[in-house]
Amino acid sequence: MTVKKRPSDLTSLERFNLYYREKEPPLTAGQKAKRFIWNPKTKQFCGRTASSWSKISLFYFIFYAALAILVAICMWTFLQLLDARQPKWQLEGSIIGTNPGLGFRPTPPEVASSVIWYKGNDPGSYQFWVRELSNFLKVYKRDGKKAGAGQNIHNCDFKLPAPAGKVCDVDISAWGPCVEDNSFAYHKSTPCVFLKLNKIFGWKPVFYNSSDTLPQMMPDDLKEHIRNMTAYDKNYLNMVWVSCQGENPADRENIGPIQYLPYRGFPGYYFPYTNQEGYLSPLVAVHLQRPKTGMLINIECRAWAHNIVYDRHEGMGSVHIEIMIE
Amino acid sequence: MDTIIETTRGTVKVIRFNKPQKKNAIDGDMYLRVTKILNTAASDDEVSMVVLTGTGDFYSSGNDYSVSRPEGAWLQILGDFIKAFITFPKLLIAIVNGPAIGIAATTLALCDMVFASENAYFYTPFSKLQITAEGGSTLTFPRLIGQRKAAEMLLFNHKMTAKEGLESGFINRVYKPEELQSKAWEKIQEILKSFNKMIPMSTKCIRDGVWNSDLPVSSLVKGDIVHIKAGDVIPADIRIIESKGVVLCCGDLTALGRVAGLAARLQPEPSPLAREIRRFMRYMSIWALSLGVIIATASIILGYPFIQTTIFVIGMIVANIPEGLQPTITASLTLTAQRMVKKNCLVKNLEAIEALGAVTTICSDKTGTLTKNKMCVRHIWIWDRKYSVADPDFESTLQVNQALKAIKICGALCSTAVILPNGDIQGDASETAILNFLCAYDDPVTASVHLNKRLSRYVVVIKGAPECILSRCTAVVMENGNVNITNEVKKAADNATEDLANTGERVLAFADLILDPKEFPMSFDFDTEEINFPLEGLRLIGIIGLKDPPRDEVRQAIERVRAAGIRVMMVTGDHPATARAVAIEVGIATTAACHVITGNDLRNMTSDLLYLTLEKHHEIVFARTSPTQKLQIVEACQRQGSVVAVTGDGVNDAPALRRADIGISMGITGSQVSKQTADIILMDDNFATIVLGIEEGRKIFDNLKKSVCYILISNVPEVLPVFMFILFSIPLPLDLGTDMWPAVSLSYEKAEADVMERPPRHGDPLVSARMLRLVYGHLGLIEFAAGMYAYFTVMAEHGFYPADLFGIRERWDNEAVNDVRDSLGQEWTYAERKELERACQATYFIAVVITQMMNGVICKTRFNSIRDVGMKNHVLNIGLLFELVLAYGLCYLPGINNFFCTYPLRLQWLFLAIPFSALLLAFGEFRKYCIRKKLFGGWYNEMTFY
Repeated sequence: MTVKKRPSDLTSLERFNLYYREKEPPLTAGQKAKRFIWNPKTKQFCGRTASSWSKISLFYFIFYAALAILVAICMWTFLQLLDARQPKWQLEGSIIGTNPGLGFRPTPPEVASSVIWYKGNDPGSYQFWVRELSNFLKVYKRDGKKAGAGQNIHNCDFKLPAPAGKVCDVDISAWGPCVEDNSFAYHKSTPCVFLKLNKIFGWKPVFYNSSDTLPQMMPDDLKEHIRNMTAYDKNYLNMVWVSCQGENPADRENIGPIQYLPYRGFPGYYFPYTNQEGYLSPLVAVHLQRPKTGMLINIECRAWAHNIVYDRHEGMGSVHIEIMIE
Repeated sequence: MDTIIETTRGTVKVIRFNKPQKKNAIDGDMYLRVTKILNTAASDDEVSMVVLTGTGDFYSSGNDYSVSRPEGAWLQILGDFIKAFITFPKLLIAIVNGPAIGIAATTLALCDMVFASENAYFYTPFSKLQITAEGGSTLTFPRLIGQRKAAEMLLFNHKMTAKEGLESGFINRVYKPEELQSKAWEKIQEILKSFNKMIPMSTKCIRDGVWNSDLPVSSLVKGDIVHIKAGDVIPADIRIIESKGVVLCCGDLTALGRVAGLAARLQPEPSPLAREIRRFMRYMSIWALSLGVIIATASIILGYPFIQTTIFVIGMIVANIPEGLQPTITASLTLTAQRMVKKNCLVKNLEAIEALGAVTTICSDKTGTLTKNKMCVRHIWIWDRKYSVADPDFESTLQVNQALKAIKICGALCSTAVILPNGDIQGDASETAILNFLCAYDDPVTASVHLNKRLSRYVVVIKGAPECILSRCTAVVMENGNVNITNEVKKAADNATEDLANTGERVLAFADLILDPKEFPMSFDFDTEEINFPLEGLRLIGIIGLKDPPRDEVRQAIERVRAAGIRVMMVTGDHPATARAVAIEVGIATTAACHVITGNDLRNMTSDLLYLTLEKHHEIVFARTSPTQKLQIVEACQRQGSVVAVTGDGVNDAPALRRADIGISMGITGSQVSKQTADIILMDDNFATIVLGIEEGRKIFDNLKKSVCYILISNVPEVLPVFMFILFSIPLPLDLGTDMWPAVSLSYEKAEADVMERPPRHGDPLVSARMLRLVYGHLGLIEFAAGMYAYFTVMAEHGFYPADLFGIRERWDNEAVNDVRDSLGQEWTYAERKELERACQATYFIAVVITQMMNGVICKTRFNSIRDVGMKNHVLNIGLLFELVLAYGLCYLPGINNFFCTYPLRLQWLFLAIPFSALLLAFGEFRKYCIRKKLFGGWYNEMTFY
């Protein structure tokens, strides 16, 4: 705080200057601004001299460096305490919980939209979706195998789960019409949509252990399918089932027959996900074989297991897809 | 001997039981006398109250049984006596100078107030005497002291001591026996004073030829003829014609009314605090709006939708509103006003108290404010030596000095002042002072004994202006005899006179002459009209200097005020020499060469010249000024940019009081108008109280700065996340304002060590660049860093490592995306992500709250170390605790956390901000240490000392 000098404290010369010196003409705003940016008299740039600027820069450099170092030390110490391979909080302990969500590909380009919309006879229109899917499936292609990840891959079966440290293969090459070479059947106005179950570290599905105790809500055709499958091989019970349906009665009519590839669900041997090297999420390709064109079809796909809770409003255990083919 | 002594003291009738040989027992005659006095006083307009007391060390021992009494009339007498007490319509006060027994005690219960000495007791042994309790005591006692105590006294002869009486509510006050009379009378004077104010003023006048002896002043009209006598208040503007006055103007049209009107019309400047806050608000608005514009531009450039942008901008502006400021200001002003009232300073205008802290100039009255308004003997000159009364050795010197005896006799005899029977002295201020002085150093009664011895001859005593007296003297008293006056003596006396006069004292010389008993026998007839006795060849006794002494505490007060960089100017109507002397004595002027401007000088000055004079001279005394010139002085000071406080008591001072930034009126001597216009009233008329006010005012401003600093700090972690969100596309961390209470409670902080050692804040704004630098560049950033660290920690614990968060926002906030992948490959649905986001925001919020609590501790002081100040501000402590509890409540209470979008956090997440709190404290202490020691050449002070 500066003390204003009293005139009585001044020397006579100073007092003379105070009262009688010719006052400088007042500056215009522009001149003032100019003088503020560079004052040649005092050699001040923006109100500070070079030494003042260097001092202040040095101070702030030290101060912010100290702050940054503190943040860095705290962050580093903290990250050291974390396991790089697995999250600190898992399943119930984590906010992610034990209820994996269902996702679909291709992803629509617009924000907050789940509409797959294209013109069946216009390659420029469906090309986007095809490319989107190709990108998504790139990691699944066996010929593009990378050395590190590829070695881990193991052909699994219900009787042959992946050994420790290995991951199960997802073979997308033999999925009928839903292959890249076929443009995922988009050009035939019978698009394929890929479903995937969200990865949750350590999550294991609790399967329906008998075809007699299936939930009432489950669509009849799925029930039928499960009975058929399990009659053939009990191992198929170890499956997270998937069903897709039109949301409204009209949609159900419009949607037409649906083919699920390779299975009608995610086989149990892919679980649990433990951040293995090269882990591939199991996929279900949903092929709409005869969807009605020219109208929007609302589809809801559900995943079925004992420990998958369904809530349409919260979007739990299900995914909402809209398809419009012109 | 008279058994009842009846005296009148002003409007107070005093009845004294005077039968000390019988312990003031009351007989029939005394009953009748008291009854008669009370009944007369009841209808006498000149009497406003009656005081009862007793002679000796007994108040009264009750009924006098030794005097025979006629049975029938006796009851009548007693009944009338009691009835006179009960029906007495005015104030009845008893000064109980000793034990009160029987009827003396029961009548005390009928008095309005009772003051007792410590050795008094109250005793009603009715049951012992086998008579009924009398004097209505069975009714009055239980009311006063309760059933139990009353029964104890009236039935079981309990002897109640004065102390017990005070506790049980039987009496008002207890004093030491030797102090009883003086203290009790002090109280009575106080009561009388309040009486006078309640009594509407009336006047005697002739209207339409009819004599009105009791016309209220307010109903006077033009043309009435008013009778006035010495001591009356002039009721209106009148033209005096032979001790009568014709009313010319009344009400607002009088000279005084015009002055009062001027006061009402003058617009006071807005208070410095109001100006500051207005400025602060303006800057805050500009800052918030420009931030809003920046945010809006950034978000539109980055392609956010319009609605989102609007929400950003509104959030930004709201975050920048210092919501705690107004309650803080109100709280600190109110608190201080309450505290000031306890220190005899009534604050009428709350903002004035803060303005007092900003004061740069005080224009003070002299009489009554700086001085005691009571003449006193200060110096005595006797034969070439000056004795100071204030000298501690004075009393012992006095004992041996012969000449002083003579001065005593002379002073006592040669006086027009009268000592009233009760010990008061009535007369001219100087005469009173001399008698007071003699009383203090010797008993006046002894003086009269000396007189008796010398009755065989006459002695002429004379006092007056030294130059008159000296020329008549031929001899002078020395310590051991008389010496003829030589030129040297004369010169010495002249010097002494000049000396005393220069210090502003009023000088009187004393001389005497013993007349020859032969020439002037006892039967000699003196004639003062045609002087027939010699007044030449006198013997000079000594010279006395009188002065209205400064109040004891004023010098120190002015020293403190000056140390605080405030200029004190004296504006008085007194003579320049007196004014200068007082100014030097109290420290307003430090050299004898201080600049004195008289009212005449002032009248001839142009306003520019006055301005220059004020600039040129720091110590200025205005003498012989008329009260209206005060306004001129105040305005000149304000033109200089000073914040001016003015003290004044008269109606004429009102315009100056109104015009000043702070008008200070006097509680005791102040007129109604001056009190109405003033912002602050000093109940004890004491200048020293102003110093307290200045300290409090500065403290308020300091504490406001602390509060504002504290409030602003929490803006940083509210504003920066929005930038993080927009620029780095990380999910939005949030903050909720829970720091209101701590902000307000910072106004409970005690004043800092340097508060009275620095100049007034001239152009020192509430929010300076330094504070902003500190807030936005330092403290706020640390707080923000703590919040972000906590945020990233929780994210990382759930699998989102910091590096992966940058740029994630688009997918994160997309409701249609149900599988956002974290660093460990887990995929999160929208609901899960949003829950995680809430948890992170809550952690951020808690981290900010914890660091903000530490900031509260840091903001406690601007200058001192926390170690020295301690955590003694319990309001703040509770406030900080409350902030924490509130924050936790917001996080953990079900329902509430949903509403505020917070999340019940894991225990360990609550402590993430601790290292940053420690850094804050270390940094704050380091900063204050640098500021105290002025390290780095004071560069750091320039940077961050707000």
